[in-house]
Amino acid sequence: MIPILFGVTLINFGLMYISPGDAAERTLIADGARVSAEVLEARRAELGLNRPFAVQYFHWLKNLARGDLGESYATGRPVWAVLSESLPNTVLLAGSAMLLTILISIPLGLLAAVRQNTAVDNILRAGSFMGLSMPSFVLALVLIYVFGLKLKLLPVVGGTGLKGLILPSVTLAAALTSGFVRQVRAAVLEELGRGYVLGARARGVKERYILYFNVLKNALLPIVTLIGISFGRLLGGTAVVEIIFMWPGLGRMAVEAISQRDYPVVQGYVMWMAAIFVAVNLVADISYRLLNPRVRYADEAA
Amino acid sequence: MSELLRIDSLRVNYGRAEVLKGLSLELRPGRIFGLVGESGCGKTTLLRAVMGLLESGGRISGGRVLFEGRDLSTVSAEEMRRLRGSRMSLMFQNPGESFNPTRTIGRQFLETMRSHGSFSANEAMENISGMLQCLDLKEPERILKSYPYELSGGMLQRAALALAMILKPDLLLADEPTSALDAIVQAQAVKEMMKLRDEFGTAIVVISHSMGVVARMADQVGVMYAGRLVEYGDTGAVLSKPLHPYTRALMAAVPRLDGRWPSATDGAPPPPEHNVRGCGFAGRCQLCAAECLDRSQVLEPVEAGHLVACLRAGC
Repeated sequence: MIPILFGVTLINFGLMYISPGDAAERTLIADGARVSAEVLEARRAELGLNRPFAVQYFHWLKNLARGDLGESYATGRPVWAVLSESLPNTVLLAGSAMLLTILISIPLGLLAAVRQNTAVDNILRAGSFMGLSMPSFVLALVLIYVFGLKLKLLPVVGGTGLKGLILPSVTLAAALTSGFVRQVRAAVLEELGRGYVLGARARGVKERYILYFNVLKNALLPIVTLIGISFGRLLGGTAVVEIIFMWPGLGRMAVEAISQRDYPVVQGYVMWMAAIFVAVNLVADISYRLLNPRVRYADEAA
Repeated sequence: MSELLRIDSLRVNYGRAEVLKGLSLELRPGRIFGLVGESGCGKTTLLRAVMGLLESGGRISGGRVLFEGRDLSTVSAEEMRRLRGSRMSLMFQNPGESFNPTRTIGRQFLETMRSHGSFSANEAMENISGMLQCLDLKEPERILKSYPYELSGGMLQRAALALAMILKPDLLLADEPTSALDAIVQAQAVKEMMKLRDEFGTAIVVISHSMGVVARMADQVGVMYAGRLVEYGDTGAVLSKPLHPYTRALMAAVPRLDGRWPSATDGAPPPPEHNVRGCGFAGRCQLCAAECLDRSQVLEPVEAGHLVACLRAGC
């Protein structure tokens, strides 16, 4: 876990190092005036940009460890301040989209599996394929048109309030749910085929108990991993949806930073993404252990 | 109507393949019936048909299963569920089939009991401990707190037997209950099943590949071949004086301690989708005569309590 994060810092810093234009150029040119080579050199020395790569890297790493990610080229504000503005919005949006996905897809996936190859299953299958193949911006525009313009139930854009949260969450959840329903269905079907299900039926165990306390519990194991990965992706911000709904989240911030070549902000964003993925995977592994006693056992024995 | 279980020319189809081709047997309360025959002859299908748990695609295409005189095909799905576990029970060769690996054994006992009535935790605990002790399983509390992978195979199989018997059913169907066990544990399991029969009057149908197990346990033996019973009778009569060439081949295939090599019979049973005219064993039979190929054989009594389906029985 720690080595992964170190690797990310190295690549992250290395990419910045080899990319054209450095901090001296950016900050001076951002002021608008053309500057002479001497001035540029002086500024580079001042910022320590003429020192060797390794020295610069460790300097950067030291600052990173203190939470100092440098300053935005565009605004001159600390990167951390820029990130922490968008972060809560992204967490809120990701959380509500994920919650929505889980609440919808687990019951539907279970239903599709139990009613395998019936009309219900086929309708859900068709729905999933539609949801998967519809690009999120199309769905977003349709939702805005219907709920914003026609029904006038929800704001067309923005507002970080609860009402502004609904449409972007639904848009994000739609695509995720479509995939999740298929995965839950497959996992439940696999569990239903296992011997212990036949064993339980042979003892006349109520189908309800078999389904909820046995099959669903076991089928959730692979789903937990999937939830982890999806949640990580959502926490990285979802540029398209955030931009369409004017949601001030990380994705939008990152796109703006990239188009302005605001490298420190991009760097900060990349570090955030890496940290999130590592953390989410850790949480997924831990919950996997809690759900599966055999993993617990194997670890204790080792 | 003294039979507990009566099977009347039962036919089971998987698609076009006829796996059981008209099989009849009857079992009285407290009796043990041993079922032998090589893999794929329909033994497991028979047990699953009785339980109403045929795999998807399988259906009863003829005949009847009567449990205490009731035709099970007329029983609703919910009523069938209530019969399973409380009146008739099925146990498997592999205890992995009985237990969900991610839940404790105790929970699975509790779940089974609560599917058939309301039990307080204490009441259930008493029943379960009683049953485990009856099977000489020490430390019932530890077993109940364990996950299936924490117990040895033999322990787990005995726990599975206790689980199948927890509601004291009148009929236990045991599908190779001892095949996965070593000889010592096997002997123990046989003893325990017989003890349960003596204590609760449970009738047992036991499938086994071990002639020894059948000889020890069963009151009656049925030899199955290609979806039919080819020999049927009291255990002593059938095993000491086998009349059907297939039964003899099975007995000859049992390894012996006197140094003689067991003799194998070449070939395999006809696949169930083939509709064989005449005797299904004819192609592998050394006694096969011309008439065996075009007349199908039915079980006929040779002497009291001993039936054989063979034109050349005892030759």
